[in-house]
Amino acid sequence: MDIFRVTKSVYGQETLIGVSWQLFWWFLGAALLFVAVHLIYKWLFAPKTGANNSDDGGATVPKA
Amino acid sequence: MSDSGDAITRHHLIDRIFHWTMAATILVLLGTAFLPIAGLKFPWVEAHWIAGVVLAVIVAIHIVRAFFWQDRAQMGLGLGDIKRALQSIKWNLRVRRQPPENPGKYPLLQKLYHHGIAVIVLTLIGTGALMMVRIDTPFYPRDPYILSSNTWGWIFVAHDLASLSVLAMIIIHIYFAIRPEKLWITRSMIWGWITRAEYTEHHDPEIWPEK
Repeated sequence: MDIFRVTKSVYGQETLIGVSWQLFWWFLGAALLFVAVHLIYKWLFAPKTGANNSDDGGATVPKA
Repeated sequence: MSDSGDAITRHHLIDRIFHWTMAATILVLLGTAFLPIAGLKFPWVEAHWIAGVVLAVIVAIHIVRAFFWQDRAQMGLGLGDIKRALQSIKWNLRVRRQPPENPGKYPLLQKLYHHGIAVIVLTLIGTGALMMVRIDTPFYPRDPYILSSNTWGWIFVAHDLASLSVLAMIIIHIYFAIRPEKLWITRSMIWGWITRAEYTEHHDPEIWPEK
């Protein structure tokens, strides 16, 4: 997979013009993977509280 | 923070206008950046740079307001954040029985998200402002030869990577905004207020006191 986009000048010299747009799918995939992992963690493993927001550093009073 | 009965102000109107204007401009910028790449052809350049200028202006206003009118300590990182993060990790690993202590206005991950997106957006604005030299705008005459081809290439790389990062960050941001246990935060970014119960449940009044 290419990381960069390059173009060739009239003299045959390669010029950098940005990142490969194939990276779009990697960034999109990373975000969706994060969401999926967090969903599974919260669903199956996270300690249960009133608001269940332990992941963000905030705390809640646990249910009695 | 003001209090009117049971409602406590979490975000003032000007801050909510900033947030939603920023959201609108980011969506326009992402759409005008990626839809043409996806094959949807339309004249995107003008809408893109105009949205970029609007974004730059509101970010500049936000920076001035944050430095002179807002409580900067609420967004600053400190030893208390590290302490609560360690408590949170231990609690999630079932090493600690008590949940972590409440943060001030913003928990650690919200602060880290803010600082991360700030770096990315400032990178986008800086590189975007430079790239506007390459097109016709009312701000300065077009001069694509002001920098070398190689330098332009790295500016494009920085702009591209920052735009892809924004895309990923926005997805994660929207995911948290619509999670059921976070809807009270989302509501506060729409209407500005949280209830007193939410205030005492999620915040430490000693770190984020009522004024």
